[in-house]
Formats: sequence, structure tokens, C-alpha cells
Amino acid sequence: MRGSQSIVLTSKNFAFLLIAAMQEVGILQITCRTARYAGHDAWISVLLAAVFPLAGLFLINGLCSRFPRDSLARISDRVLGPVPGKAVSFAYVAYTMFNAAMAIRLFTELANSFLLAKTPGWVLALLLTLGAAYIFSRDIASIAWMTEFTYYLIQPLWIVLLAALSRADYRNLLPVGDNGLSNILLGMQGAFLSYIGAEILLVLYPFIQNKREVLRAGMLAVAWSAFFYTSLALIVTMAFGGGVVKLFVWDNLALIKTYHLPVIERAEFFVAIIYSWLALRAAAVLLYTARQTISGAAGVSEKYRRQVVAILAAGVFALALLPGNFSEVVQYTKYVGLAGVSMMLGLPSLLWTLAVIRGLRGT
Amino acid sequence: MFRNPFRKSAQKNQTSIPVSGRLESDLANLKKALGGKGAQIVVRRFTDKYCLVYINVMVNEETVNRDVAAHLPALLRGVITPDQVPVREIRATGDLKKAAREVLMGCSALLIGELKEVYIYDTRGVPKRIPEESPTERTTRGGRSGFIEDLDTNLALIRRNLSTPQLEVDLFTLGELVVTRGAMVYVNNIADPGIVEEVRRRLKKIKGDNVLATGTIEANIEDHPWSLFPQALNTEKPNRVAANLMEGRVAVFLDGTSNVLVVPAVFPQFMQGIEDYFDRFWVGNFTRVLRFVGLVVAITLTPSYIALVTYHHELLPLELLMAVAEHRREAPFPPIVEALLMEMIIEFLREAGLRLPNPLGQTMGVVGGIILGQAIIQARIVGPLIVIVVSVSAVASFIIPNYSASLGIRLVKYPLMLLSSLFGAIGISLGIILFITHQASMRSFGVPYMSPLAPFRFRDMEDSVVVSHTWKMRRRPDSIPHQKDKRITGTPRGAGKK
Repeated sequence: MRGSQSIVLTSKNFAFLLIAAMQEVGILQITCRTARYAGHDAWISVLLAAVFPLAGLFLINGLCSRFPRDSLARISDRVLGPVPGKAVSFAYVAYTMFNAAMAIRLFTELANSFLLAKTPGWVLALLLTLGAAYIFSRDIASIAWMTEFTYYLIQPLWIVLLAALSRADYRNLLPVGDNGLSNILLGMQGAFLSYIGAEILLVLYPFIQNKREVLRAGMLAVAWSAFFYTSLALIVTMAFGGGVVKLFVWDNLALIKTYHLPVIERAEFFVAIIYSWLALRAAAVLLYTARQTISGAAGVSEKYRRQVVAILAAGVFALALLPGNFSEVVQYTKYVGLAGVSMMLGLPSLLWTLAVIRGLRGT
Repeated sequence: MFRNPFRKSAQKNQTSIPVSGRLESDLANLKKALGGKGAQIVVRRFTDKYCLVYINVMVNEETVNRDVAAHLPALLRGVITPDQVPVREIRATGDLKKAAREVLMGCSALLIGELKEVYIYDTRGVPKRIPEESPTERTTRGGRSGFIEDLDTNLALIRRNLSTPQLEVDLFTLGELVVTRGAMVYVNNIADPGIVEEVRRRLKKIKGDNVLATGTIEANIEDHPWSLFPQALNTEKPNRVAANLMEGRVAVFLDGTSNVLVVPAVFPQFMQGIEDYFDRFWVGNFTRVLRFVGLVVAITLTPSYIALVTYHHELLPLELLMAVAEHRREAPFPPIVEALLMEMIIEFLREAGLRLPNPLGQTMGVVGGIILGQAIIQARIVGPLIVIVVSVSAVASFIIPNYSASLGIRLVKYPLMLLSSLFGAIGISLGIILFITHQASMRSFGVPYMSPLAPFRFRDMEDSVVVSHTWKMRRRPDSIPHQKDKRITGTPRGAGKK
């Protein structure tokens, strides 16, 4: 059995991988980002933004069900032809690297603010990149099991956040919808970063054992994330009011500071530590899909897994250092969110349409 | 005498020496095949047609005299045939090399002139100890007997625990120069044939001059030889092996060692104690959870101390912070050096205590724990807090019931200490997630090492971090592939009720 077992994922594994890819450090800022447009109606923007990953899942499932054994690299090759197909694959790799790099960089900024003020950011970025490299060098089933196990360990974190309900005043949410539909819709882009991730299905689909359950598992993962984000946005807004929330940088951590937990002197400290797991999990899952895509597109065999991992890790580290300061990081994450939505919706739509027109199907 | 399904290729390589039927020539060839200068080789002649050959220190003299030699006159008279001699096992072979190998293992060879076969009688009688409780697996409840160094006794102990016709014992031999007997044991209608075949395949691949311990087998058949964590359960308790066999696992026995390997192994299995199933429900659960808490403490307490003292002072309560600051003002070493020094002392004491005779070992513990600890604080080499931290961490690591697992777990804290000294709490957090990833990526014979925690299997949670009533465990663990899913539990819930 040593080395002979073929890697398969259950739909449950996929759900946890999707949660890990979506719930990264961006959730620390989800309310303040959306509140900049939607004010105290940020929670509506957050809830509505869940439509994007759901639509993405439908599109990707539709595309991949035509090519059940093929991953993105092969699908794009077949649908678009060798050169444009490879270009699309490499674009996906570049996007995932950028997304992972921003997850790492965002945590680096957080760590510099709350945990290790004197340690240079590049050292922390390197540390996290190396950690992520170790994780994404494993097989996808192992990564899925890790995300599942850590998911259960992270749950107390949400309870800590929910404890802020004692400070909440529901009147801060009123009048509902007062900021206008256009602002609420604009506010959705603030939540994009926390909802992108469904595009991993483009790569993971062939690994999933029971294809019929993919959509249901994905929807459950999105529904859970949407529920969590919306609750968070509601609590933060109820605690501070829409006018104040938009001024925050790390709204969740500000929320924890509003109350005192017995025994735990500085709850936000522990929460900040746990966020390192979120960053690593997200980066590792995304980079695993990048690893698979680059191997598929460039025809690199599993024998050169370590070299591929090293190249991706080096690239991610370089990209993580790209933003010069925190405001640039925020700007870059906005781009990542938009790129993610186009990868999640645009790419599968294009490939699916062309596949249908050309009558292409997988074996 | 012993079925040897694993070593056909090895045997092919050895040239055979056929029995010629000429007694003197066959005897000379047998002696040659036995090697050495013939010391300890006993040749007993019965007329010029028969002679019995054995090694005096390897046989049970009483068996040889009473069961074999005493019946040879009857054999000479033709009253009985050679295969009617009343010993445990009889086999005939036409190859003197094979006969020599059996003699080396304690059998007696009967050479008969004009017959082109040698009769091998099982007269083995190597001194063996009484099956007593293993010092590393002491229990307060349940069976006390432990395996010994004799394969047959160990197989008898397992048969006593599992007297079922479904118990399958596959005997084999390992080693090219020194041949050691072993056995692969499983329950036929429970163990997954795929796992059984895989264990057999891996055992077959083991090559070496000699295989003296199950540790060698373990190193050869495990999936991740570079990992810190054992991937086979190493136990000396027959009831533990029996319970594992009933869950679909396979046990590997080896003559000359009292440790039995059980595969596939999963990490939570190393946290299970035998008493957990016999104690009161709440007591068993408390102990089980305590072990997992102990695991976390053993791994993270010392690194947390380093992180707190080096980077995150603000998390310490003010009084404690003042005390720590007071010590740190005079401390000659940074926290990581302090911690490493203390951890090393603990490791020295543990290793020394292990090698010394029992009373001396206990003295070593007292001297190390109290006198040395006190002296080191008074000399201001380290602070009192680190002594407490390291001691608690060491005690917590001893809670883990499996010795080889506790050794691996103890070593995990060293890289964590280094990470915490460099990156504080982030270092610990990173180290833990890498530890989890490493464990999640391991397999033992195809079974995820972290199951039933990762992948999470709700059904198997009844015997993982918590332990349920045995009467509630109606199905075998999902994590271990098996054939017969339903267990026959003794009584339904409430059998004691009217």
C-alpha cells in the first residue's frame, strides 16, 4: 500500500477545503471593508455577496461534470487549444499565488500590529511561506484532513467573538436598508476576498469521489461561511454602529477588546494567533491547486514535486513582499477579490460556453 | 516443521545437501551443516543404524530422554515407526541443511541408515521466564500476564484470550544467516484481507542476516520510517493484542522478543489505556481526556513559557510578571537556554533511571527531582518557574500510556521551543499546525494515522478522545478496514434493570 493508494476526496473533504480557502485573514476586515460603502447595512452586503461563490460553484460544477476526470490544465487545453489553454492555466497559477501571498502578507501585518512588533515583516512572511510550502507539498487528502481537524480546533474562536453580543445594540442596525441598494451592492466587493475560493473546484473536481454530492457540499460550505460572516458583521455593527466600523482596520479584534473575558487577559492575542492558522490553511489549499495546475500545464511529473513547491513558495514570498505598506496591502487584496470573482465566474463561464458550442466532453 | 510462506526465494538460494542413506556420511554432513567445532552437539548412537543429533543447550533433556530416546528401542524392533514417536511435532526431510536449521532451533534429528530421510522431532527447551506483568504496561485492572520471549508461549497466551477457530496463525521465518521464527496472527472473518495481504507482502520483503527484535520488523514495514511517531502498536499485553485483533488488526510475533506489533495503528490508539474500559464510565473518560490534556501540556508548556517570557510579557498576571522580572534581572542565560538546560537534565535523569535497577532508579528520581532542582535554583542558574514548567511537562509526557509514542511526543517540543524562542506565540502556532499536518499526512498500512479525528469519523469517537460503554460499541471502528462490522455485545443497555 505504500505509495500505491490513489488520492480521493469525499464531498465532506471538499467542503472543508472550500471553507479553508474562503475563510482566511480577510474575515478580520470583512465588516469594515463592506461598511465603507454600505454603512450599518454591511451585513446585507455580506449576505448578498454569498451569491457569487454559489454561482461560481454551479458554473464550475457544470463545466467539470462535462470533464469529470480532467483538471483545469487539461480542460483549458482541450477547450481553448494548447497555447491559450496553457496561458489560462498559468493565469490561474498566478492568481492563486497572488491570493496566497496576500493572505500571508495580511497576517504579517496583523502580527506586526498585535504580536511581534519588532520582527521584520519579511521574516514573518518567509516563516509563513515555508509553513505553507510544507503543507501544500502533501497530498490533497492529507491537507483536507488537516483543514477538517483544525476547523474543529478553531471553533472556540467564534464563541469568543460571539461573546461580544453582550455589548451589541440592535438599534445600530436601524433603519435597515437606509444606505440604499446601490451602496449595499457596492459594499459586496468588500466581502469578495472572504468569499473567493470556489475556484479550487476547477482543480479538485477529478479527485472527488462522489461527484453528485459536490454541489451540495460546496453549497453547505458557502452557506456556513455566509452565516458566519453575516453574524460577524451583525455583531460588529451592533457593537459599534456603521459610522465607527468603517474607521476600523481589524474590526474583529476591536470587537474582542470591548469586553473582558475571565482568565484570558487579552483574548484578541489568542484570536490573532489562531488567525495564523487561517492564513496558512488558505494559502496551502490555494497553492496546492496551483501546484497541480502548473504540473498539468507544464507537464511536470510528480517526481519533481519538491522543485515545483520550491518555485511556487519562492514566488509567493516575493509577491507577499510586493506591497510597500499596509494601505497598499488593502489595495492589493481588493484586486485579489476582483480577480477571484473573475476566476470563479468568468473563467468557468467562458470554458463551459466554448465546450458546449464545440460539443466537447471528457472521457 | 514450520510452514514458511515468506521465504521461498531465500531458500532457493541455499544449496541443499540430500540425505544419502549412509549413516556415517550423513552424520558428517549434518555436523558440517551445523557448523562450529561441534561443542554442544550431542550425537547419541543406537546401534549402527540409528543416531540422534541435537544441541544440548537448546533442547529439553527430559523430552529427548522420555519422549524420543526411550521409544527408540521400540523403533529398532519395528514396533513403532519413526513418525509414531510421541513428541509435539514430527517432520521428515530429505535435506540435511534443513535438518541442521531445525537442530539449531532446538529440535532433534534422527538419522536412520539406509533411509533417505531425516526425522525431526520438536524437543525445543530453551529456558523461558514466567509470563508476568510488563513493567512498561502496568495496569490496575484487567489481565496481568504479559508476553515473554518464547513464541509458542506467546501464541498460547493469545489463543487463551481468543479461543476461536477463526484465529489464524501464519508462521514464518526471518533472517538469512540466523533464522528466527515469527507469526502473523489475525482473526479470519474480521481482518480485512487487503491489510493481511499487505502485512504479508511487507514481511516477505524483509531481508537481513538476522532479525532479532520486532523493532527491526517495525522499521522495515512502516510507511514513514523518518517520522517521530510509531506506526505500529508495540505491546506486551495479550489482552490488548486480542482486543485489537477483534477490531480487524493484524499482530506480528517474533521469537525471542516479548513485544508484539499490531498494525495498522492510529495515533489516538496510543492514548488508550486498558483500565479505561474497566473503570467506571466517568473515571475512564476523565482519564482518557486527561491524557489528551497531558499530550498538549507535554508539547506546549515549555515553548509557551519561552514565548511568554521572551515576547509576550503582557499576558502574565502582574504578580507573576514581577517575580519573573526579578529573576530575569539576575538570570545568566536567556529563557531558551534555561529551558533547554532543564529539559536536558530531565532527559538525563529519565534515561539514567531507565537503565538503573529499580531502587537505584527511584533514588535517581528523588536526587534529580528534589535535590538537583533545589540546588540549581539556589545557584541561580535557572529560575524556579522554569523548574516547575519543565517538571510538569515531563510528568505530563509520562501520562501517555505507550512508551514509544511518549518518546516521540516528547521530542516534538524541542523544535517548538526553538520556534517559540524565535517567533513567540506565532512560532508555536506554526509548529502545531505543521505537527498536525505531518500527522494527518501519515498512513499506517493505508489507514489515516489521525483517524478517527482526521478524517473525522463520528462513529469511532466512542473510543478516541472519550471512551463509551463497551456495550454501546456495537460496531467495529470504521477507521480500521474490517469484514464483519457488527460486534456481538454482551448485554443491551439496562440489562441490569428489571
